[in-house]
Amino acid sequence: MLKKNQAKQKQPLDESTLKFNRRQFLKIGSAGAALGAINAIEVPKKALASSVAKNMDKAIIKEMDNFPNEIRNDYQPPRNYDTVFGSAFFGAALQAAGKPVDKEMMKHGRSFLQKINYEFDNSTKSHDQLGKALTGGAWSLSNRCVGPSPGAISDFGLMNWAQPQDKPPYALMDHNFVQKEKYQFKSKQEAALAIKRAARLYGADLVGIARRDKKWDYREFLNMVPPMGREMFPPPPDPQNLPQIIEMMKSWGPDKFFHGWEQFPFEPKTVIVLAFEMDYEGISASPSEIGAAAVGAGYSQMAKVSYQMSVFLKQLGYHAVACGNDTGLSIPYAIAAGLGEGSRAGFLVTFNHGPRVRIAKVYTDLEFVDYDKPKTFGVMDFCKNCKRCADACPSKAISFDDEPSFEPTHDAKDNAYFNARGVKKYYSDHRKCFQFWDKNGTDCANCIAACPYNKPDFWHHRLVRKMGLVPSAGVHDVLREADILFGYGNTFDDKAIDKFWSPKGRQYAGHDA
Amino acid sequence: MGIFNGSESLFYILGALTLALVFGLIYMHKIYNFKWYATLLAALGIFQTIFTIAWWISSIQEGEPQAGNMGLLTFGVPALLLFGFAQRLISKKKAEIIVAEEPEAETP
Repeated sequence: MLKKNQAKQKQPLDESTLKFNRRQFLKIGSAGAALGAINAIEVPKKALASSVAKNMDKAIIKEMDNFPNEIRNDYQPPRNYDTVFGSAFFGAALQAAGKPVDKEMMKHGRSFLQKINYEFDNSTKSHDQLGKALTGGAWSLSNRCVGPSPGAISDFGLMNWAQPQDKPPYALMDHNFVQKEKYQFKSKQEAALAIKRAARLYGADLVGIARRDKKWDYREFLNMVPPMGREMFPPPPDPQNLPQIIEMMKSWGPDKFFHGWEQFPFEPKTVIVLAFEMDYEGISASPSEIGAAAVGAGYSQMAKVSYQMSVFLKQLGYHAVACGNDTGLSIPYAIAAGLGEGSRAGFLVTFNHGPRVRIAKVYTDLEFVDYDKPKTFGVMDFCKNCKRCADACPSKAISFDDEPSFEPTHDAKDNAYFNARGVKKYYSDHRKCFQFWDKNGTDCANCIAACPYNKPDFWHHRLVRKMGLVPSAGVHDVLREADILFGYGNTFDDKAIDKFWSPKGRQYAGHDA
Repeated sequence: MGIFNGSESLFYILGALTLALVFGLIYMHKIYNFKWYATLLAALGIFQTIFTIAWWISSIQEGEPQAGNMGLLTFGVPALLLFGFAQRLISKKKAEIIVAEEPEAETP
């Protein structure tokens, strides 16, 4: 009689079954060696990996022919003083010129400048002297070299609009002049690649090229600095010109503080947009001096690299003006240049650094270049459900609306002089935002820190980012909650300050000895 | 050793661990010859385990221990469950083989 299970037994258990014989081991070993050999052949492996990565990116990132946000017909570009900074920092100039001023913001501006320049509290970790020193150093290059550019004031220091035709006679070496001979690129692609490579050498993390678009340029400029005070290293005055200079200084007044594009030295055709990654650990320590230092370091990078790019273009024979927050709106230009998407909080969200970037621009008359196109990868869809930035904002300045709109919907919507209406986006109450900056004594980057797109560039974050592309509110909600559970995006966190200063895992001399 | 950085060492070790686990799975399959779904569950368990370790160590390297520990929980528990189900199926198969090998009882 057969036992029930005898029919199911496939092979008897004996020693030959249990041991790997030489043949089987050779089979598996050969397969492994073949895989190893493929890896060892660098060229096809790299080409294959690069091709796979490119195709995956193309599948995820959508290129748009037009600007991704809807724009109403009555949209009008703002003036450079239609910002909270306009009243907060330059309110006296606006008042002298008889322009309307936000007096409350003027008060907050004076208080903020007093705190950010002078005050620290060694009984706190977030605002101690060490942190203040870090912030001071971080901002120093921007402060000295481009002055009021972060406040949207153009034409100062390294971001001066002048287009010298020769180097100053007193300078040993100075390439800041427009070469007479224009370099002829063989193709538009070559021009674009050369510009991007130069930008990468000088220190830009991301670079894109957009057509100049008057929609994104300020339509009028406030500049209270007299012309002869705008250059970085002005030449010694020529004694023959002294009477003219004195006359100009005497006649300088509020009636001359405003001008339009007629003073711009050339007709710009192209805007090169540069983005600079800010330190992840620094931003994580927001809203403290460490967070402000990460931002300041970004501004100093903006000043340095945009100036270098402007000189690069001048040496190629083209006119160029370096810009930071001034002259035009950086975020729409960055979107147009394909560097990222807009977001709920209003900042640019880039593909690999999220919102943790600062943006500078170079206006130029170089036209023979391949332009980039806007690109989207699901950010605005994700923003609809996420709202982490709005939750993290200490002053609740960021919109909680589910859908974007053409007009601001916040409490100050009837007097939102600081919002550029007519673009379909989320509108923040910048007055509330700046009020917190004053209370905090430094600028705040909580919205950037809390954003789920703000992650270091590592494999598991790239994986989660791709999961965020699934156009499902449910998936976005899960990802948002997981982001919180996993401990990302915390603010007001003293541990983040300790981590910033900790020597763990850092090699300052290139070795551990 | 000062030659490889943390990420390089991590992925090298994970590669070696994957190989060891796959060899282990093949060895077990040779002994017990279990069904395709048991093999699949065990293979998924291996993948999930490797993913969990990679996530955990990557998070620790980044200085995000909470993310690492949550990863151990979120990804590690499913890995254990997968191995658990696979182990039950393998044990069942093992029992069948042992019963088949028992000497025949003599009929009276």
